[in-house]
Amino acid sequence: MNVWIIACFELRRMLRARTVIISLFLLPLILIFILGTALSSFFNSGDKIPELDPVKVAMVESVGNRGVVTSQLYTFLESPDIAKMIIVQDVPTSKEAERLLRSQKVDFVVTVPVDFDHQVMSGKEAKLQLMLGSNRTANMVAGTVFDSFLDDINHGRAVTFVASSMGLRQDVSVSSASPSDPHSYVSVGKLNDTATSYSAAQYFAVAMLIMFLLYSGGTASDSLLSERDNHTLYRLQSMPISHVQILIGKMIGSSIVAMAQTLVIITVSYVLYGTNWGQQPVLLAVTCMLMIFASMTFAAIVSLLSKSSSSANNFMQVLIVTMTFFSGGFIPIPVGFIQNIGEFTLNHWGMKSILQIMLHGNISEIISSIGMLAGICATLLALTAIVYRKVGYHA
Amino acid sequence: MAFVEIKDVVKRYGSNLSVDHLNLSIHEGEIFGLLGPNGAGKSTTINMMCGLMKLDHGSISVDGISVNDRPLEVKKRIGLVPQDLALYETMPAADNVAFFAKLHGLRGRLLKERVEEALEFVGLQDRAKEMPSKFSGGMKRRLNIACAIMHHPKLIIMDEPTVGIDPQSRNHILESVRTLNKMGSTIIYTSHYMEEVAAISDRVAIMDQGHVIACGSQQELRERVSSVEKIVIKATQITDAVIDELRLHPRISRVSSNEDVMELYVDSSQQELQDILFICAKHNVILQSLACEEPDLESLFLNLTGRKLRD
Repeated sequence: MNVWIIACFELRRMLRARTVIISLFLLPLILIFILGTALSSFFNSGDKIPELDPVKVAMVESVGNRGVVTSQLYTFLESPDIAKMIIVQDVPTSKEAERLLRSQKVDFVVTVPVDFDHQVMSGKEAKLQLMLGSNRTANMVAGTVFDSFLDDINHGRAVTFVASSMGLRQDVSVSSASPSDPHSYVSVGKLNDTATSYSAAQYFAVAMLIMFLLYSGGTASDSLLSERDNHTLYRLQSMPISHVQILIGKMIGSSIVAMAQTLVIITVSYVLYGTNWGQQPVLLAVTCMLMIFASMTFAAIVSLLSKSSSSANNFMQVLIVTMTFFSGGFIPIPVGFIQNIGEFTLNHWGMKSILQIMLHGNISEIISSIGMLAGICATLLALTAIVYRKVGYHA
Repeated sequence: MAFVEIKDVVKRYGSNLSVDHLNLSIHEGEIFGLLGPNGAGKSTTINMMCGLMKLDHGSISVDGISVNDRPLEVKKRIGLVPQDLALYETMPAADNVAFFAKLHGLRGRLLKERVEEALEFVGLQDRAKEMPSKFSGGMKRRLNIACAIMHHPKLIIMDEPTVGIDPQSRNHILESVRTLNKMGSTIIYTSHYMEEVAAISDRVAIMDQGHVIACGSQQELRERVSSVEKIVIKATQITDAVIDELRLHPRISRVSSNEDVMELYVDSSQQELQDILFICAKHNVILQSLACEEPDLESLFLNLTGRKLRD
């Protein structure tokens, strides 16, 4: 009963502090919005494949110069699939093409060199002169189309060269470049039934939720040490309750605040930003509870070992920011050494579990991440017990 | 049997002996003053009495219950007013009192009544909903007391409850102590202000360097120093020569000087006054005033330890 009296008082005390409301409830929602909006280019925007506008390409070709290879190029460009992406406009001179490009009437310029056919037929490397416009996406689309044509031409040339050296006869052709080939080696699949990937808002909602759950541990640590600094712990310990009840009561009070914080972040981000938290509320709740537990035990260890609240605060701040960084909480970390370090952080396993829930991943994989988190919690609990026995929570 | 019985208690901090084979008996219903300079071991003794600190040796019992064996039972009987303010500054005064009252097991209507009673007792009933952060030092001290008395403890321990407050609040607190005692609580009152302890205590123990150097009623303690009188002389041109000659006098037990004031301890001021005036005149000391003072607890402490209480 005394534990609940302390927990309720702690809860009331924390909720009275405006800084707690701002830092634990408001700040994460603002950060989710800012990071989700600012860094959305790092992510696919969910299930939709973006529609691309056709690229206007100015073709410059010397009059009466069209040979076999150039004709193949035009045939290639006129094929239905390519025609969806490329709109060809014949332009007599390079100067005229450049003018059109500068005035943004075309997106891309391709000049067919005078000796293009001769170069190819004589077995030399095929080259087109490409002039890029200001639209990065248009450049990429047009560049890919023309590069793929040239690659096939050069591939054919290489085959011919090898065949003739072996005494065989082979025509230079662009058979493989033909878009009429219906077979595609790329198959577009889905990781699950309803979502192929998470959005920036989802990713940062998870990252911020995990980071601020750790910050709620920081608030708990601050509260534990303020009892000592304000001498209220001395009075509490003169009451007919055991010292461990005081510690547990305070931890429960802080945990209830952290639970409310979780509920607010999930609900508000769902309502305001449309963040999809997946279809596994129980597993999501278990993950959050384990994160809160880990955060509280961690705060208890730091508080019991710290001499002053300022040193505990600084340590918690540095640790939370470092763990969030290495786990990719501020910006997704590409595969590599830093990502490997991230696996040693609490954030990594919390984020992994929730992101898998969002992606409707395999249940066994989600439970495996939750199991890892539970293992960390058990270790932290054991450490808390050892530290408490060693140093205690005294005034 | 005494209400609080301290037997042969020892407490060490590393190599430093904070409480050294302390023996003390406090009777039910008395106001017991614990006097001593800073570092004498008063707070350590209180911490051990309240079960906040383990004893290295000896035993303490309160109301016949051993602190070592049943600390929670002892804590139920104690109301501790700590030396440092122990309040939640951002919670209303009534909430502060109610929180500690709940931890003592008070609930419902009784809880409400006791909170109101405690606040009324310390004169804060009109400020019940205000935050202690807005209170003056004296009001905070009074709230500090309210948080320790709402459960009507059998033993109230007040550890320097008047530190740093105005005379009006101090008088209010001292009056409260007397009232609480009349209501039936045994009170242990520690201070290094001799005047306060002398004003309210039935019995006084003087502690120094971890043990009791004198214990008894004020009358008993005064009798121990009744043979010693203090002569305070205010004068100019007090030289080392006059101090040295006064010290050589066989019936002057102690001489101390501070700028233009000399304090002399003699067995009988009337007999020695003529000699003292002669020595002063011989060294051209110009007297401004001379007073003979009754012995007090300060004199006793000085007599026993050779130091002043507030050194």
